[in-house]
Amino acid sequence: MKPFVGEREISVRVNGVEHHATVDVRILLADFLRQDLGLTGTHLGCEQGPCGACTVLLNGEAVRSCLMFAVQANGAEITTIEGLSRNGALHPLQESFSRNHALQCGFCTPGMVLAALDLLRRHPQPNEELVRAELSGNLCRCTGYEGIVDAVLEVAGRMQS
Amino acid sequence: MSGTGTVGTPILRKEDRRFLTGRGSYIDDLQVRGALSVAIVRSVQPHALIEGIELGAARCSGGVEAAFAGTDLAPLAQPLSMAAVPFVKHAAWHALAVDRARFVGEPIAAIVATDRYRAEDARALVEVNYQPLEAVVDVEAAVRPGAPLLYDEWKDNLLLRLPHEAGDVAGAFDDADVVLKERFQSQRYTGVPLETRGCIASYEHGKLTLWSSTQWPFMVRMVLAEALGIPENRLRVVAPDVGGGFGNKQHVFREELLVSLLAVQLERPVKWIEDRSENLLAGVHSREQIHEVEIAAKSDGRILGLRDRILADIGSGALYFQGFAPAVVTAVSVPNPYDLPNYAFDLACVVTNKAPCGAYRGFGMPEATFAMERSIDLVARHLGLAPVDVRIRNLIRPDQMPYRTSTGTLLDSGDYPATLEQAVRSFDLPAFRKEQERARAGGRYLGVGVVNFVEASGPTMFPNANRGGAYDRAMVRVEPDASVTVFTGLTSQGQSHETSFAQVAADALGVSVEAVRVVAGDTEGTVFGLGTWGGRGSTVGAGAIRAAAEKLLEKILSIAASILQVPPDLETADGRIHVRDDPGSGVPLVDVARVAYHETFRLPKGQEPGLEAIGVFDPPNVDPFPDQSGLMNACVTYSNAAHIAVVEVDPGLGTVKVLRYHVVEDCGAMINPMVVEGQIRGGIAQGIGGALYEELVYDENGQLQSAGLMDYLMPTASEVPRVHIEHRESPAVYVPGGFKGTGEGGTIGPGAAIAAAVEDALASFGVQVTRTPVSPSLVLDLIEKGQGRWGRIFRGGEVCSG
Repeated sequence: MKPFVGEREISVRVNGVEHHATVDVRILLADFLRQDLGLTGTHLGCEQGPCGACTVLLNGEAVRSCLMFAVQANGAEITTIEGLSRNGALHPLQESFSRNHALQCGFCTPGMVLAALDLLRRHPQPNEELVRAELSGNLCRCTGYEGIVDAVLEVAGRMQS
Repeated sequence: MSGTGTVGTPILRKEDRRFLTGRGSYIDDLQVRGALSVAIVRSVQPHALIEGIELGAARCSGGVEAAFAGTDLAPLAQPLSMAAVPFVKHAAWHALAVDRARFVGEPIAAIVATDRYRAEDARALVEVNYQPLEAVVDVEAAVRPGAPLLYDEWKDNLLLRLPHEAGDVAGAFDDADVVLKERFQSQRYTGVPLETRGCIASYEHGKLTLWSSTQWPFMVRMVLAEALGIPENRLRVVAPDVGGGFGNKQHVFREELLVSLLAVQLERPVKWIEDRSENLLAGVHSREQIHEVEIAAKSDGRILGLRDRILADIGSGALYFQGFAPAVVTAVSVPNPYDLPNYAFDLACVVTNKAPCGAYRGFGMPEATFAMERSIDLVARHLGLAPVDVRIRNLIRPDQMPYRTSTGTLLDSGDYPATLEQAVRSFDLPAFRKEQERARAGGRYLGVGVVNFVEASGPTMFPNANRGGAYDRAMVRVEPDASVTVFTGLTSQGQSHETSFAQVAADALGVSVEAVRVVAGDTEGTVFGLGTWGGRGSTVGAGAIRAAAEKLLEKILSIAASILQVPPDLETADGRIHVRDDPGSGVPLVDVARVAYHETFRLPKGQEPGLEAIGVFDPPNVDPFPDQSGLMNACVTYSNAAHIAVVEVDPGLGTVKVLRYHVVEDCGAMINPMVVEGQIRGGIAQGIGGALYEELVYDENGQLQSAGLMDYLMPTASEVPRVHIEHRESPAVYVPGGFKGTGEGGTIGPGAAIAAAVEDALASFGVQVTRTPVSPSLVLDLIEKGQGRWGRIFRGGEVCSG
C-alpha cells in the first residue's frame, strides 16, 4: 500500500539542547516533544486550540504546540516547561504558583506557567484585568483561576521592585 | 498528642514540584514498552441495528496489527451491567456494541496499530452498515406511550421509577394560602476534566495490569475481574497522576474493558487515550433534569409542603454505574436545608438515545438546589416578601439539630440561619442596593441572588452500585529510619491528598509533615479502599488514616515507655516521644523504630516486631440501604453554605457577567484551609460554567452539536470573579476531628444564585429564570416574553418597552 505520509529531517533547539530528527510530516509539534523527545510536561487537553494546555514558547512567543506540525518548528528555539527551572531551582513563577495554590491536578499548569511567562515578558506590569484577559486562552478546571492570577501579579510585583 | 500540629493550617502542597516542572506522570506520559494504540470506531447513528462492519480495508492499512468488531470480542468477556442493584431495570453492554447502537459515539469497533496516527488512518477506512431505528432524544418524548424503546424487553424507557411521600402533603396543600407551580430545568453538561480519559493494559504470565486515569482503582479491578473472568489477585489496576476527575472518572468504562481484552488477545500492551471530541461525545454526561414543582405556603412565607415530579434523562444507560444515582440524590436532597416534613417526590430516570449520564461533582445536589431555591424565590416574589426572609423563616434551626429530614437524611450539625445571616451581613446587601440604583441610573443592570444549601459528604456506595460501603481504610507505617508512609484507599485527582493526608498522619504521630509520604492509586501498592468521590477525602479518607495512626501510636508509646522505663503516659512532638509535660526527656522515634525492627528482643511483652497499623473508618451513622418506608441516611456528614452572586446583564446582548461572588460556608473543621478554599473556588468556576455557558446540545437527530471546546464553552479567567470566602465551623458529629466534605459545594450554589441575580437585574422586565444555562439567547427570549413588555427596542444603547 502506497504510503501517504512523507518524512522530513528537522533540527530544533529545545530547552537549550540541539535535536536532529527525521519525522512524519504530519506529526504535531506536541507529539514530537512528548513522544520523540520524551518531554511529557507539555500536555494535550483538546488538540483543537481552545484549552492552551499545550502552550510552549517558540522563538520567544507562546504558541499552541497542538496546532503546529513539528516540521514547522524546523530551526526554531523552543522552551517547554522542563526548561524553566535551572539546576533544580524553580523559576520565580513556579514558586509563586505553589505559594498561591495556583494548581491542583497540575494538568493545565505547564501551559499556564508558560503563558504567564510570555504575558509578563510582554506586559511586565499587568493589572488584574489584563492578566485575566491574557490568560483566557488557558483553561483550568480545578482552581477557579484566583490563585493563578495572584501568582502572576505577585511575580510581576517582584520583577518591578 | 501535643506539640504544634499542621492540621487546620494552610501549609503549602508537597506535590507541587513535579507538576510545576512538567514531571507529573499522567496516563499518556507512561511508557509501556511495545504498547500498541487503539482507535475506536464510534456509532454515527443515535439508534440503529449494526448490520455489518467492514474491517478489511482497515486491517490492510499501514501499521495496523488487528481490528475487532463487537461480535469478535463479545464471547471473550461477560458484559457490564448494573445487575447488583435490585431496584433498577437491567441492561447489559459489551466493550464494543454487538448488534445495536444506542447513541452517537457508542463504541462499535476497535483498530489496533503501532501508533495513534496510523490507528486513526485505518479507522477512517472502516465501513459500518447501519439499519437506523427510530431514535428518541427528548426525555419527555421518551416517556410517552408509543415512544421508541431503547431496550425492547423493558416495554418502556423507564430505568427507574421512585415515588416517595412523607408527612401530610395533601393536608399541607389544603392548609396553604398559596399554591404555586413551576417547571425548572437543568441542562445536560458535565465535568470536562482537562485531562481526558485513557488507559493502558498489559497482560503477562496470566496477570493483567491496567493503568487508568480513574478515581477508584479497586472498583475498576472488581468490575473488570468479573467481566474478564480473571481473579482479582491477578488483576492490578494503577491510577497514575490524574488530571482532574470531578466524578467523570468515577466509573468503570467499556473502554477499560476493551483495552484489557485487546491486551489479552494480542499478548501486547494496548493503549487508548481519548481525544477531546470523544470525551465530549462519549464520556460521562450529567445533570439533565426537569422538575415540576408544586409548593404550598402560608402568606407569611412559611412553606407547608412541596411536591416535585422529576424527570431525569440518563442517556443510553450503558455506563457502570448509571446516572440514576445522582438523580436519586437529587430527589432526596430537594428540601435540604429547610424544615419541610411534608415532601413528596416522584422520580423517573429515563433512557434516551444520547450518551450515558453519570457522576459529576455535586452529584444531583446542584439540580436539587436549583429547584428548591428557585421555588423559595418564587414564593417570596409572589407574596411580596424578601427572599432572605422567606429562607430564614423556613431554615432548620440549630436547636433542631441533628435533624432527620423527610427522606431519612440525618443532618448532623450546622447553623443554617446564622450562615445565611452572616453572608448577607458581610456582603452588605443595603450597600449593594445603592450601588444597583446608581448603576441603573447609569444604564447598567446589576442584580444580586442569595441562596443557601446543604452539601452531603462521605456517602455510601448503595445508590451507586450496591457494592462496598461507606468505609475507607489506610495503613500507616513508621519505617526503620522513622520516616512515615501512609497507604490510603483513596486516590487524588488534584485534591492535595499528598499534603492533607500527610498532615493528618503527622499530627497524630507527632512528626513533621515532611517526614510523611502518602502512597495511593495502585491496587498492589496500597490497601483496599473505595476511591475518591463524594467528599470522602476529608471524612472517611482522613478518618481511616487517623484511626491507623492512633493504633500505631499506642504501640509506639508502649515501646517508648519500655525504653524509658516509665509508665506509658507519654506524648509525641517533633519526632520525639517524651513524658507528658517534660519535652526535654524522651527518645526520638528512630530509637523506637530500631527496637521494633532490629532489636526486637527489647520489645515489651505482647508487642510484635514491626511498626505499621491498618485503620478503618466505617461511619456508624450511615444506613446501608433504605428502610421499609424508603428512608435512608446515606452520608456521614453534611456541610452547608450561603452563596451570593452579583451579575451584570446587558439586555441588548443578553450577556451575563458574574461580577462578585460571596460565600459563607461551614465545612466543620478543616485539615488545610488553603486546600478547602481552592476546592470551593474551583467548584464555583464549574458552577458558573453550568449557570451560564456549558451545555451538551443534541439536535433532533441525536447528533451532538457541542463536541469541541469551541462550542462547549468553559469559563476562563475572564469569566470567574474573585470569590470571597468566610468560614464557620460546626464540627461533623460522626467524623473524628470534625471534618466535613467540601469538594462539591462550590458547584451546588451558582446555578440558583445566578438565576436569582439575573432576575433581580432584569426585575423591570418581569423576567423569570427557570432553567440553565442562562445564555444570551435565553435572556433575550425572557426579556421579550417578560410580563407587561411587548418586546425590546434597542435605541441608542437604552432598551425601552415598545
